[in-house]
Amino acid sequence: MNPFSARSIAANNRKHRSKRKVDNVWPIEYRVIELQFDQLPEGEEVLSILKQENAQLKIWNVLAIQYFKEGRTRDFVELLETAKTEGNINYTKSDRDRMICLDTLAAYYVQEAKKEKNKETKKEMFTKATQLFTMADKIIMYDQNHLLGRAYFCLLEGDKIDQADAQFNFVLAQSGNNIPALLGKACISFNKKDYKGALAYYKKALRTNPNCPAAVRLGMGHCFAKLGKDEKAKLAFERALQLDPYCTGAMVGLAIIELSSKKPDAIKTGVQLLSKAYSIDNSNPMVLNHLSNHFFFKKDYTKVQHLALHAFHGTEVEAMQAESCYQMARAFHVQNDYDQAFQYYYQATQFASPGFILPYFGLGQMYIARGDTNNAAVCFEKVLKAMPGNYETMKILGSLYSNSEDMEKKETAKSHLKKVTEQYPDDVEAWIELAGILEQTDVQAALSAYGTASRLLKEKVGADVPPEILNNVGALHSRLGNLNEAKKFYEASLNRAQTEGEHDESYYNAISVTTNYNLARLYEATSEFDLADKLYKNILREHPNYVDCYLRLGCMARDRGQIYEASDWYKEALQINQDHPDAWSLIGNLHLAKQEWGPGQKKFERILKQPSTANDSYSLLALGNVWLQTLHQPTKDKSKEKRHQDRALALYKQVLRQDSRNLYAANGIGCILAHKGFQREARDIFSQVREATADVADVWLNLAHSYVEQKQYVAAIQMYENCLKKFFRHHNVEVLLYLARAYYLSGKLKECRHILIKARHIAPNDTILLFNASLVQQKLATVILKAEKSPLKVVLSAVGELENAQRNFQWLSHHGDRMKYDLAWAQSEARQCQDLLSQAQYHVTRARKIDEQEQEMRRKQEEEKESIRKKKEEEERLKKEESEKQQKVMLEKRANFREATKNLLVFSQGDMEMKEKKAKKKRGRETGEIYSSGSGSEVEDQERAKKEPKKRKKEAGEKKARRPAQRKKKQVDPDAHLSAKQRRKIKSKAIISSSDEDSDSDVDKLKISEDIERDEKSGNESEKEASAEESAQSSAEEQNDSDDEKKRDEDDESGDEKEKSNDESGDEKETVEKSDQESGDEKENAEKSDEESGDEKESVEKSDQESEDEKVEKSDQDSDNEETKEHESDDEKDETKEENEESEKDESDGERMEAESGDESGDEKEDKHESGSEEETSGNRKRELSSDNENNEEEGETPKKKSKQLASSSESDEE
Amino acid sequence: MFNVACKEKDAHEESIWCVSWTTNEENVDSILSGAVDDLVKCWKWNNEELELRYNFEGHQLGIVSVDINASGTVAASSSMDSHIRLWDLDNGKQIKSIDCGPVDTWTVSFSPDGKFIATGTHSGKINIIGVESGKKESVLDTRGKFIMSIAYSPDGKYIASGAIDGIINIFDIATGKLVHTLEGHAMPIRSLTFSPDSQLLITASDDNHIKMYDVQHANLAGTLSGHGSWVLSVAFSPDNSHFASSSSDKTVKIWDAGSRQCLHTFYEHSDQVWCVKYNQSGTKVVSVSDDKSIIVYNCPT
Repeated sequence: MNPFSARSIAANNRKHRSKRKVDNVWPIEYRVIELQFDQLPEGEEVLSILKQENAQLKIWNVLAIQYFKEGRTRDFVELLETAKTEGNINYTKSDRDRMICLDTLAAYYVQEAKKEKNKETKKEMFTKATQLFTMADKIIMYDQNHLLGRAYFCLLEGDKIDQADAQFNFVLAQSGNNIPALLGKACISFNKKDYKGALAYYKKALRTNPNCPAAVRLGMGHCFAKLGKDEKAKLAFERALQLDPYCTGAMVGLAIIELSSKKPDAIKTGVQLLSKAYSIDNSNPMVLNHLSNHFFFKKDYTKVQHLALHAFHGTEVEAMQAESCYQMARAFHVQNDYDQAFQYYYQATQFASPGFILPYFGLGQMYIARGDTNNAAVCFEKVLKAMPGNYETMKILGSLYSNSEDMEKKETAKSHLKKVTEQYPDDVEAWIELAGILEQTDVQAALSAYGTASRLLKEKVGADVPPEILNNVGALHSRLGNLNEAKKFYEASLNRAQTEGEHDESYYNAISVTTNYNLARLYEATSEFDLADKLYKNILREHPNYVDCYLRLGCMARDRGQIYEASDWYKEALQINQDHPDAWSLIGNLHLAKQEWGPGQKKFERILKQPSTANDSYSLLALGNVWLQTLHQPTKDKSKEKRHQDRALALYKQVLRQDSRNLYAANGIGCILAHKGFQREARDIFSQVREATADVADVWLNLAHSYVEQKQYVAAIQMYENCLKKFFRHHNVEVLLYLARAYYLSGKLKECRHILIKARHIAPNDTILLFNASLVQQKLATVILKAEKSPLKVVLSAVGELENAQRNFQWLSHHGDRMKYDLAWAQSEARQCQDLLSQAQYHVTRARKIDEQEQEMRRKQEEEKESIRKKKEEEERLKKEESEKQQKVMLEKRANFREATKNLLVFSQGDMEMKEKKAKKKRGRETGEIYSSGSGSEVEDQERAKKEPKKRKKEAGEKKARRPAQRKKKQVDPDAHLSAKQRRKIKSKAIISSSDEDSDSDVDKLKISEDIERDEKSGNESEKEASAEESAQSSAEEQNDSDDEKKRDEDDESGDEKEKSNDESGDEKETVEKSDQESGDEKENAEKSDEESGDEKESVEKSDQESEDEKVEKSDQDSDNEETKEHESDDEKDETKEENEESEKDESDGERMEAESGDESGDEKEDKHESGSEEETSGNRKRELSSDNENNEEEGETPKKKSKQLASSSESDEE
Repeated sequence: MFNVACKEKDAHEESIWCVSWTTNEENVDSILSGAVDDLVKCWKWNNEELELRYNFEGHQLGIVSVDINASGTVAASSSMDSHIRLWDLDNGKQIKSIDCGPVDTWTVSFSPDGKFIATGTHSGKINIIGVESGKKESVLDTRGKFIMSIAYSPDGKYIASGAIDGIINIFDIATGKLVHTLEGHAMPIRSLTFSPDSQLLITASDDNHIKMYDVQHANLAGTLSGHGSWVLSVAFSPDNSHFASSSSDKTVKIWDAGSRQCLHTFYEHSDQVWCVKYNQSGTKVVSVSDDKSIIVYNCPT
């Protein structure tokens, strides 16, 4: 890469010419003062003569100047020095001559100073000149020549241009055509880059004196060159040369114009001009520099060095020196002598004017060669600042920054490279660099950049795509999941590397090793583990130090469950690098997976002890998780628990301090919050983490746990199920257990059983699963048995499951895992199963009876219908008879009437008998039930009472255990199964103990509603809640039954028609209430439809509703009260009688609410169908009525109860 | 050509866990499927279609395993309620129900002569149950963990069992002695099967790998990878040169036993594929899945 271009150098040199103007203009002053003399005697002689003669100063001056012209400067100085003091000034106008004397001498010193290279003497001369000028100032301040001299002196000193300008202006004001002043002004304008102005002054000078010296033409030439008018410049230079064939300045100017025209001929002339100039003045630095520049392109580097060095020593002007240094540095650079080059570049940058940035470019390259990218970047930044949009520089900066760690710089690099690729869409290098940067941020864009680069390589360069690029493209594809594409590219890369390998074996070997490693990773991703294994081992054969291969082999072994082999591989890696943090992390994870907290902790602490990895986020997180894990082990020591929480928290905080966006640390903090009981806050954190990434299963689980904790089971279940679908191809027992627990807690026993069956199918040896499954079987069977209306088939299968559960518990009590739960517990559960089984026989017979009864009933119904039909016929017949009789026998009224009543009496008696039979049957059944279920509930209660203290503990344990706070990791895979066992264990306990909770609530309810009537609570409807109510139900039934029977007796007495009408009226009222409720429901539905907008929101709100419902349930809902009031108004007279019933009603309404809320929490679909189900309810009711209230079905029971109450109250009215 | 011959969607109401396929002497092709809905269904493979013959009811807690004896007359099924039930395939009636005691049955396998059923237990024992007697006839003790899979060698000499910790044991039936213990896997073995010539044993494990062993010397003949998740089932083709595998990655793969290369992968199921079986001629493969479907494939030999 040759960054130098002739054009830029030429441009540069022109700039320096401006400085040189000063030199060229100088001699003019002396030529203005001119006198004629013939022969000059020896200086000493003249001096003594003049002294003796006491000659007038005028003569001294004249003579001195004459000596100067003769070139005898020593005499000249001596004469003037003496004249200054000795000269006779006692004549008119002597002031003027004194001025001449002083100014001439000063001018001479200035000129000498200019020539002088030695700084000391130079300074001395300047001082002398200043003194002389000051003396002259005192004589005639505003003498033109004096002013001009002074102005040039200021100009030469460099920093007094303004002063000089003022003086020139003064002179010009006095005489507008003063040539020296005009030239001075031109020079100043030129230096101020006002080339047009300079040109104007030169032209004015030329007009005033057409024969003015070559210097004027030279100046004009430079001005034209600056203004870009090369032709005119050329003419001006040529004219200058005509006037003064030895004007090197013009030669150089002309040479530069010729050289920059870039035509071979012109260059030749240019060079000729330069050599001519060199032969004239071999110390002119400008000539030297240009010559060295020329030889640089001729690649004659020794000459370059020689000339440039010469030029460097031949000038005082820093810009010139900078250029000389630059020329030398360049020569060394090309000759790969980077140290020398660096020195000279550096010097050049020290001397260079701000506009001369080429040395920075070179210096930057030297820094890169030295590996000092920071300084290099600084240099190139300077270049770019001077030349914005310079493509070379942007490219270099881009590639410098692309390797930087700083994200900001990477962004700059990206923008630089993007600009480069926009400007030069064919620049392959830039495309590749750009792709390299994009790799980290935008995979897709990187791929397309590589694509462009490859296309360019093939089309423009005609080269094959190098293996590196193929490899990178493959890696990008595999990151995008295009495994097949990736494989193609890797293989292509390997092929290329093999063919290229002939040229540079070691380099291409290295590439193919990397590609092979990538390919092996790819095989892992496509589950072709055998191929991956082979590749890794191949790599290791040739490169036994390739640590990553050991680690991958270890990970593969770990995934196969071969922990010890995995551990061996990791240790292999450690033999190569004692402190390899990844190897230690993986070993630590192995320990944690086996729940060996201590050793695991040590491994991570080891990593943190290494200074280079002291802030390793992964290790910090792992340690935090270790502390978190210890929280899952139930402990009584509160202070220890707190300490562990705090330690975990501290570690997570540390991670967050380093990386405020670390999701895993945030998640960990969420877990701690949950542990401390801040469920809402924890859930917020989990939600946020979940929003930030959907790719970490643990967050989903944690969020779901939070939902469970807040009793939003529907949301929790959804979350668990999604998590299962998204993250696990196979069934994950742990998550299944969580899911089962959520179902259990939400009362969906059937679903829970289903999930547990699936879990058992996966892990049939897991006794905890067996325990839980048996427990759910038991609960479910209990519910089914307790439900009086369960069909025979269902009852039989329930008994079967109960037997199964009992056997399992029995087995568990002997063979269960002592570490995980109390075997005595299994024993007691087994006993309970046994008890239930002993009752089961009764339930079976009952179910059989019901079965038979139902058939009987159907038969009876038929009969009843028949009898009604008959009755109607009879009535009609009677009416007919009556009318006939009335018509026939008006006189025999009495006798006829008696006969008619007889008939009626006979009829109703038959009806009565029928009813009585039915009632008796019922009574028998119900008393039996009361007895057995009562005893059952007693036993339960006793057991519960015994269990009570144990439960407390369990609950305490459970709270901790509930949040099986997940381990959050950078690498998900190594940790996914980290502590599955541990969590599983705790989790299942949660299930078990939560079942206790339920029974706790049973006990509560028992207390609240001991005397509550619940008789018609049917099993079907109460699936969801029955488990919670079973005991209450059974104990309450006793009373109900007696009430019921009373009512029924009354009913029976009051005869069919009455009952019907009563029921109907009840029905009507009910429907009024119903419609109220319905409108309420509608509102609810409206709310729901609003809620449907966002799933999560919905569930949250729903859960709020749920919780509200729950509250309401406890404190008697408003609507219930309203209903009660209604009844009160209806039943005022019966207040005393109804008191009990009212409370019952409230309770039962509460239950209904509960059921509804259950529905709400159920699928949305259910909600939508709510109104439909209500229709069903009323339908049921009608059926019930027609079948003498026997067929209690589903939700119908509550309304029915009401209707009955109404019926009875209206009866009492009648009474 | 590898293709789908028949796809029976919603063959059961729940996930289907096991399948078996035999042809009896009257050339009736019977496919037996067992599912979580507690039903064992007997299908007749007729005219490239599945025709439901019988619903066998009685099990609870999901059917874990089904097998048909060699003559295609009797079927055995086991479920998590710890019962093995025998069914008459000629009349669709239950022959008997054998209570194995809690947790002591999992996979069932008929002996080649059809006289015995082998099943594994929680304590690592193999119970050999007489089909006639319905009683436990003998016990082989692996002294290992829960036995998830069991297989008779077709020549009736060996019985192999795969445990939940990945250990495989091979017993000599005649002597009742443990002849080999293979420790190639470290994760549950959900399925294993002998080749028809009884020379090879292939095993499917949760470690995503299939291994092939030489039965005689217990040498590892090959390790096959390609499944992206647990390998749930393997079945050898009667032609002795192919075998099929199914996995939690929802695929069914057909392998060449000689080259140990995967010949074809079916991506037909939408959920885990729990079981695969060949028909008697080795031209077709049946698979059942959590997606409730039964699929029959044509497989060239």
